[in-house]
Amino acid sequence: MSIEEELRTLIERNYVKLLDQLATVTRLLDARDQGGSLGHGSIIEAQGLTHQTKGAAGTIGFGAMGAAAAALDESLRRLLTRDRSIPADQLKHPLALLSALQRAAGETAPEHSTLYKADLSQFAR
Amino acid sequence: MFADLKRITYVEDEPDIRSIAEFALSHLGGFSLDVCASGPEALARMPGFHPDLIILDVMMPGMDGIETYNRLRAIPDLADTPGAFMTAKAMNHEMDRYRALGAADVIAKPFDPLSLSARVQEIRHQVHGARQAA
Repeated sequence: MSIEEELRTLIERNYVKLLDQLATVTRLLDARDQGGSLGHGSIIEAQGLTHQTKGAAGTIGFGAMGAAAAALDESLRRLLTRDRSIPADQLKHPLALLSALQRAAGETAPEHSTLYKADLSQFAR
Repeated sequence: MFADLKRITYVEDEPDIRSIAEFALSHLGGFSLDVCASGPEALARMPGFHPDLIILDVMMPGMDGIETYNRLRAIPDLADTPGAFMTAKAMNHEMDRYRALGAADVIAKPFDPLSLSARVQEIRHQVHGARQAA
């Protein structure tokens, strides 16, 4: 396998992982009670995963996903200051940011990574 | 004699970032790399690896990068080994704080995998220059 193929494999693997993480974040933020409130534990877990998504997406060259994840990460982080369930009205903003992240992910494919067609000829094996 | 930069220990808890940095430093940079997933793992393995440079993620659960680096520097064989922190919080005042804690430099996250090797070489040269001037 060439070094370019290895990088593309790494991008594809990370892409799948990012989508998995996003599915988990979606599930966590969907787990609201009948009144629309969400438990503190779900917010903690969703924020941790979103933080990972932000870092990995940005590093592997998925800029739009990274930026959308950064916005959601910050919004969820603000909710962590309250050690209790989050009422529905305070979830509107993070849920809108989750939708934006889902859209960014839906518009992203591995070949959209800025690294996918990188010229690696300068790197010796 | 100042050793060339050949051996790097990299400490990072997030597997995705770890895999990208490993590719960048090992496959692209050609460095001999020891990758650790936590501070305690680094403390256990690093004395046997004798790295020329240590790169540590700042925010790790349990023992963070700063505590890990301080503990590593207490090991006589590693006391002079330069360390660089990796962080998403790379504002100027935070970078100054990390340097005050003994870091040779700070690598901002997200990093560019294609230029990471050149960046760590630059850090090594900075350390070399500073030690020669001292």
